[in-house]
Parts: sequence; structure tokens; C-alpha cells
Amino acid sequence: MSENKRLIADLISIVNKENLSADIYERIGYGQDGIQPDLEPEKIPAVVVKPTSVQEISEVVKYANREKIPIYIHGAGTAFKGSPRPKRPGSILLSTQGLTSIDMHEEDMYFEVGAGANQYELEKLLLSRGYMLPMNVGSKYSATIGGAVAINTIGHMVDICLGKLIDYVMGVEVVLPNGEIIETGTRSIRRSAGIDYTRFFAGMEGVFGVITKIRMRLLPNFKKAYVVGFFPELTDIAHAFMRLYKEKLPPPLYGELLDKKACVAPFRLRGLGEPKGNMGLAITIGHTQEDADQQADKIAKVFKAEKAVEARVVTSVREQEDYWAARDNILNILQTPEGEEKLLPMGALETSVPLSHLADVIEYFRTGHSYSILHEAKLFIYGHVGTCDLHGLWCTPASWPLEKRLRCRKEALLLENEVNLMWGCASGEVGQTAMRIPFLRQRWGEAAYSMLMDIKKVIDPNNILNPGNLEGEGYED
Amino acid sequence: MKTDNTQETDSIKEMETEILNNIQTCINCRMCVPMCPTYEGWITQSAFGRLAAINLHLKYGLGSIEELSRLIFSCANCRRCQERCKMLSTNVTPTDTIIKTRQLLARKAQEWGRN
Ligand SMILES: Cc1cc2nc3c(=O)[nH]c(=O)nc-3n(C[C@H](O)[C@H](O)[C@H](O)COP(=O)(O)OP(=O)(O)OC[C@H]3O[C@@H](n4cnc5c(N)ncnc54)[C@H](O)[C@@H]3O)c2cc1C
Ligand code: SF4
Ligand code: SF4
Repeated sequence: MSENKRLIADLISIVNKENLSADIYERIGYGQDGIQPDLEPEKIPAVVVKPTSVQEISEVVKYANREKIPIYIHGAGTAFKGSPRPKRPGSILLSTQGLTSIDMHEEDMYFEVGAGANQYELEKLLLSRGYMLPMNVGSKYSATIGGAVAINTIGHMVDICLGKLIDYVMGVEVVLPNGEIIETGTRSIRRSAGIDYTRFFAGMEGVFGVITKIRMRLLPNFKKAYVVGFFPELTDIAHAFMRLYKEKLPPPLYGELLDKKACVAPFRLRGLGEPKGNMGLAITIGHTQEDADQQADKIAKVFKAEKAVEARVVTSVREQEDYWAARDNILNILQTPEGEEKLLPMGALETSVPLSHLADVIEYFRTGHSYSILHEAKLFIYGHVGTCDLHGLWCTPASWPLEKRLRCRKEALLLENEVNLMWGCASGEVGQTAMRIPFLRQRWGEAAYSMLMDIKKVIDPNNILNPGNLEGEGYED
Repeated sequence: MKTDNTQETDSIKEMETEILNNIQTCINCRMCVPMCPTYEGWITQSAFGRLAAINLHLKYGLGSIEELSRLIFSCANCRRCQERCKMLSTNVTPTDTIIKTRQLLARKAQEWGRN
């Protein structure tokens, strides 16, 4: 029996036949991660499994650990810094999408959710019961809650408004690399002080265990108010948010910025007309509508004081949806008008910066750096300015030679490192593995990195969970 | 002057290039997966899975043409993915690309029949 056939036969004895596929096209589809270049044929996983219980996951992991077979943990595979991408040949792609249960425990103010539940479906359910999901990523229609917890992201929301996702994670059920099943955390809204095993897993990008279930605090929904402003200069928006915090206004749930260029295609798509300038957006929250409205009024005033040509509270639901969809679905910017050459998103940068340097960093993206290919490419700037998280997307015409396009990607990554190092920060979304490992080593030093690798060796001595991710394999300098 | 046969080959090449150029703008966001009416939990039952299969098949010859045909012809042609990709993502025109691939496969089959 060939090695592959044996692997498949062994796995069929653990998971149901219907929950496993060795079909080449399934393996390609699952192995391919977000935005990245094509998956290299030799890295295509050997098999995809979708266990439906924690026991099955435990058996798969025990088996892989015994046989020293790499496992790549997969929520929906939408993260685009290389974390869900298989890096070693002959791997098992372990999808959590068979774990989708949701149990509400309203009397104790929490719910428990299978790691593979879709974020959008979960959000819909919570909203229908008067709660909210304290996160919102641009990929929520496809991504899983386990994927978000594994990288501890709240996406577009402002960290200092409601906190980071981990602040809501009361505990997790995890399969360790040796196949043992453990539960962490508490069932009380009073979180453990000091050691809390949850932190080994939430935000650790699947290198220490497979999260199978998540217990999260229920957060009653808030009333919301919406503000839009159009500004002559992009840096005016940065100054508006700097002023807002200086004046000690409560942080909004969202604070967004979109340069004028980036508004054009999403506005066209939604019939919003020509953008009147660079767009700033905010959503405020309150326990009463009056409270949210009052905060929104104050933000509109700050926008005006910082040179907005138009700033107002948006009350029409249709307009609220359109402006926010224009921002949320930022990839619409790649939609060129009929007859124009297609653009490819080659260099994506995401960096969080100190509040007082928001405007400096915007200028640095535009003119401050010395990366020649980036200067040739078309730059769109957008981001979660209310949480000091800025994105630059450098797009190239599809006709550029591949080598030049790849150089653009590389330069954007180098610029991301440079900005984070210059201002002593880190990227605040999508996760650090695997592409950002060279940065991680530079930013926090080799002693810290060795500590991380030593812990990994102890917890996962055969390096079977997401191998190559902490090593930054494929993304060496 | 080209013979008929080289013209056929050229047009197959052109079709392949057009298909691959379209797929190149797919950012693998998978927004077109859960709402596909043929999706029952496996990625090839969605537009994204179909495009990913076409991509590596055309580039590296991976998988069999029969299996690829099965995936491509199992699309219900409802255009929901196309609308979704346009509103939420990069407008890859996935349905058109799948239909174009059907034409490509038919063309290839014709060519083999002739040879
Ligand atoms: C269009 C688009 C917009 C996006 N917007 C944002 C954004 O606003 N903010 C942001 O942070 N990200 C964003 N992302 C990146 C990504 O989609 C999200 O971070 C998402 O939450 C990842 O979820 P996933 O299920 O796809 O995880 P995956 O990509 O499958 O996995 C991410 C990492 O977590 C690990 N992992 C997944 N599930 C588990 C588990 N159960 N146990 C242990 N480890 C696990 C994986 O091994 C991998 O290392 C975006 C992506 C796209 C394509
Ligand atoms: S929605 Fe569009 S860009 Fe996203 S995976 Fe589907 S076809 Fe690709
Ligand atoms: S057109 Fe085909 S791939 Fe797209 S949603 Fe409909 S059935 Fe799915």
C-alpha cells in the first residue's frame, strides 16, 4: 500500500468517510490561502479532513503526532499573511468547519460556539437575541470564529472602545499536539486573575493547539449613530481623531478613513456619486439612542473643526449601509471601469502606530519611504484610524512583469516592518505568522524569539501543528 | 499563413489566457462559497473552489480533465457568486469564467476528436 493510501485508510478509521477528501481539487481549494500567490504544487496537502467532534480531532492529532505528519489547522483559510498556507509536503489539512454548534447560556451571560462556526452566521444569531459580536472583519461572510480567536482580531473595531476579542473569551476547549483534550478558563463573568491557560491559545495562531470550542461573554447590543465627513487632505482625518481623543471624547466603536482615490470605485458601485474628498467615518455607541446621537454630534463638530468640507450625522439607513459597505468591502477598489486595465493588489501593508504620529505615518506611506517600485504602483490608503491602524494597498497593472509585481509585494512588507520599527509598534490584524516572522524577530529580539521556539518545542516536540509558521518558512528575508 | 489547426490551437491558448487573467484577480476571499446553491460543505462545490481547480489545472496540468469537467458542469449557472464578488470583492466574474472554461473544455474535446 502506498504511503498516501495508508494515510487515507488510517484517517478513514477515525473520521467518517464523508468527512475526508483526497481529491486533488479539494486539496488545492483548501490549501490555497487568501490573496497569496498560487499554492506550490508540492505543498498541496495530502488529504483534507473535517472532523465533527473534539474526540475525532483528538484522534487525528494523536495519529499525526505518532506518525510525525504535519497538520495545518484551517478555519476558512482567509488569513493573508501566510498562516493557513501549508508549508511542508504530505500534510493533513484539518478543517474545523465540522464544528458549528452554538449553545446560548443567557442566564450566565455567555455562549459556547464550535470553532468552525461562520462569523456572519454567529453574528446574525446574536443580533436576533439582542446581543452583538464584538468583532467585524472584512471576510466575515466566509471566515470562522475559531480563526478570529486564533489570531485575536476584532477587525475594523476600535480596540479601546470594547476591548480585544480575547477580552470576551472566557475559555476554550483545545486539543493539544499530543492529542489530549483540555478546557481552559471559567464559566463566570469574573475572569481568572493571574495564570489563565486560555492565553496560550487565543492569539497564538494554532501553534500550541487546535481550538475546538470557545466560550464567549454575551455582550448586549448598543444603540448606534453614524457620522460621515469629507476632508480636503487625508491627514485632516488623522488630526480629527487625534483631537477627538485629546478632548477625551469616548472612543467610537469604529473610526475609519478612506482616501479619495479609494472611495471612487466603491462609491460608483453603490451610486454614491463622486466622493467630495477623503472620507472619515465613525460609529458611536450608547446605551440609549440619545447617548449615541450626542457623541455622534460631537464627532461631527470635531470633523468640521479639522477642516471637513462636509460632516454630518447620517440618519438614513440606506446611506448608513452604503457608506459602510463602501468601506467594509474595500477590495471593490480593484474594480476598474470597462476598458481600463485590471489592477492587482500586490503590496498590502497594515501597521498600528502611536496616536500622535497618525498623520506622519500617512505622509511616510506616500512620500517618506525610498522603495522605488512602491512609488511606481498605485497607492490606496485606508484603515481603522480610530484605533490607529493604517493600511496601504499598492496595486499594479496586471501587465507588469511578474518579477516586478513580486518586488512590489516584498517592498510593501519591508515598509510595514520599517514603519512598525520606526514608531515602536506592531501590526494589529491578521496575525504574525508566517510572513511577519522576520519582523517579529527584529522587533522583540532573538531572546524573545528563542523563548517562543523553546515553548513550542516543549508543547509540540514533533512540530506537527502549523509547522513552518513560527519559522517564517517561505518568507525568509 | 496559419493552417486551420494552428488557428484552433491559438484560440485555445487565447481562451486559456483570458481565463487565467480573470482568475488572477481572485483574492481567494471565499465570500462566494457559503451562498453557492451547489455547496454542501466541500470547497469544489463553490465558485472559489472551481476557480482554484481551473487555475492549477491549466497552469500545471493537475487533476484529470474528466474530474475538472464534472466540477465545471455541476455549476448551476445562477450567477449568485458573480453578484457577490462584485459587491463584496474584486469582480472576478466567476460565473463567466466558469462558462468560458466549459467552452474551453468543449473546444479541447472537439480538437481531440479531430486528431
Ligand atoms: C477580504 C478579507 C478581509 C479581511 N479583513 C480582515 C480584517 O478586517 N481584520 C483581520 O484581522 N483579518 C482580516 N482578514 C484576514 C482573515 O480573514 C481574518 O483574520 C479571519 O478572522 C480568519 O479566519 P479564518 O477562519 O479564515 O482563519 P484561517 O485563515 O483559516 O486561520 C488563521 C490562522 O488561525 C489558525 N486557526 C484557525 N482556526 C483555528 C483553530 N480552531 N484553532 C487553532 N488555530 C486555528 C490557522 O492555522 C491560521 O494560523 C481578511 C481577509 C480577507 C480575505
Ligand atoms: S468572491 Fe470573488 S475574489 Fe472572492 S474567492 Fe470568490 S471569486 Fe475570488
Ligand atoms: S453560478 Fe455556479 S458557482 Fe456561482 S453561485 Fe451559482 S452554482 Fe455556484
